[in-house]
Amino acid sequence: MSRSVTVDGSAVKNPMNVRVPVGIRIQDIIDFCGGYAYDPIKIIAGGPMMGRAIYDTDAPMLKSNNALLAFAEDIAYKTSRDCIRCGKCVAACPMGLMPTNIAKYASNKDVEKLAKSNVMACMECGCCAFSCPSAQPLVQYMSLAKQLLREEGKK
Amino acid sequence: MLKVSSSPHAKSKDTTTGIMLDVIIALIPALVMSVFYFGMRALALCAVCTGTAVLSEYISRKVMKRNNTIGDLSAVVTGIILSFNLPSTLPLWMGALGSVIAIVVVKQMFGGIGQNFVNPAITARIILMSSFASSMSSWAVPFTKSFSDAVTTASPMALLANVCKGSATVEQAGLPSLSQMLLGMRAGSMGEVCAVALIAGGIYLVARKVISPVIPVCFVGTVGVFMFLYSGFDITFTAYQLLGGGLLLGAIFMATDYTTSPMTKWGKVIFGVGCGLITSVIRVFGSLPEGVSYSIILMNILVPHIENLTRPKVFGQVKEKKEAKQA
Repeated sequence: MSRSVTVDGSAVKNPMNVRVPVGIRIQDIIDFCGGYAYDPIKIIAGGPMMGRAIYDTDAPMLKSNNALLAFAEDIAYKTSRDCIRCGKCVAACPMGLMPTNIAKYASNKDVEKLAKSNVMACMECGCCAFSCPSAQPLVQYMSLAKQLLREEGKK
Repeated sequence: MLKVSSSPHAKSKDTTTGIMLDVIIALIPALVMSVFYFGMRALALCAVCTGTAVLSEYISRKVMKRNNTIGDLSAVVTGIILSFNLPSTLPLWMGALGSVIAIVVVKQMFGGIGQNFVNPAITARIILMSSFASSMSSWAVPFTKSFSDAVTTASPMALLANVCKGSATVEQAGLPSLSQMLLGMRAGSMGEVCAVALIAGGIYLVARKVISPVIPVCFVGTVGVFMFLYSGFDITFTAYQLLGGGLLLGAIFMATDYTTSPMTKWGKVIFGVGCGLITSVIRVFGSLPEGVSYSIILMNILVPHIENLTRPKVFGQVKEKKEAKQA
C-alpha cells in the first residue's frame, strides 16, 4: 500500500514527488526530501484548499493525503472582518449553498434553520472561504454547522 | 511551534478595504465633474459629509465599545454617496447631519457594516428631504460658482413631471438638450448630473468584479421599457427619463450596495426590476418628480424575502426530493 505524494512549500529543501507507504511518519518524508531549508511555520497534510494543518510531524501520512506542504511563512493570512454580504461565497459554492447564511446560523446555533440549509451537502472544498473578502472562517463554520446538526440528531 | 488553522490555506487577495477603495475610485469621475459644474462648494459639501461620516463611525464604535472599523473605508463611501445625493447649495451642517443619521442611526445602531437593512446614504437623503424640503430641492445652475448665493432653477425631473401631467410637451418643457443631460450640464444633486462619469465608474466596478452588472442593467432597463411604452414609443422622452434624476447614480452605486441587495443571481434580477418599476410608477403617477431613492429603500426592505424565494438550487437536491416521494 503506497501512494504518490507531492512534497512542496517554501520550507522544504528539495521539493519533489515521492512514492511513500501509507501511514509513514511525516517527519520521515521531510527528512527524505533533504529536511527544512527554513524553519516551517505551517505544515499542511494535503493540498492548500482542503488539506489539514498539522501541529506535529510525528503524525502519519493518510491514504487520502496527496500532498505535503511546509511553508516558512504564514501563507494567506488575512484579518477577519464582519461579513459585508457581497455574495462572493454564494457565487463560488459549487453545491449551490449560501455559505454566509449557514455561517450566521451556525454561530447563532440556530439548528432549525441549519436543517433547512442543506449544509450536509457541503464538501468543504474551501471555495467560499477562499473568495471571502472579509476573511471569514467559512469552512470552520460549515464543520461547526454539521456538528450541531449531528448532535441534534442524536437527541 | 507550527500554526494550525482551518482550511483553505490559500485566500484571494480581495479585502473589504480594497473593494471600498475601488468604489471610491469609481466615484471620483463624478466628483470631478460635479466640482467642474458647481464649483468648490460641491467639494466642500463632499468633504464635510465624508469627514462627518468617518468621525461619527469612529465615535459611535467607541461609545458602543466595539472595535474601530473606519479602516474598511465603508464610511468614506457612505459619505461620498450621501453628498452626491444632495444639492450643491445645501447648507453644510445639513450635510453633516445627514452623515450622522446615515452612520449612527442607520448603520451602527443595527450592528455596523453588513447589518443595516436599508441603504444608509439613501435613508439619510430621505430624512433630509422630508426635514428640509426647500433646501433639498433648490438646485444650482451649473457654472454659477459663487460660494453662497447661487442661482437656482428647476431640475429636469420637475420639468419632466409637467410632461407626465400633460401640461407641456417634451419640446415645450424647457429641458436642457440631451447632450447637456449626458454631460451633466443641468441642475440636480451634485453627483447625479454627469451621466458619462457615472457610467464610466460603473464600467470600472464591473470590470474589477466589485459589482455584478445585473442590478444596474435590470433597473435602468425596466425604467427604459416602462417609459418607452408609457410615452407611446417616444425615444426622446425615454432618454430624458434615463438620464434625468438620480437614476444612474442610484442604479450603479446605491442599488448595488452589497448589504442591502440580494446575494442570489435571480434575486438581483427581481431587485433591479422592482426598483425600476417603483421608480417609473412614482415618476409618472406620483406627486414627487423623483422616485429612485424611495424605490431603492422599498426594495431594500424586501431583500430577505427575495433571497428566500430565489435560493440557488442545491446540487443534487431535486433527485433527493424524488427519492423521498418514492419512499
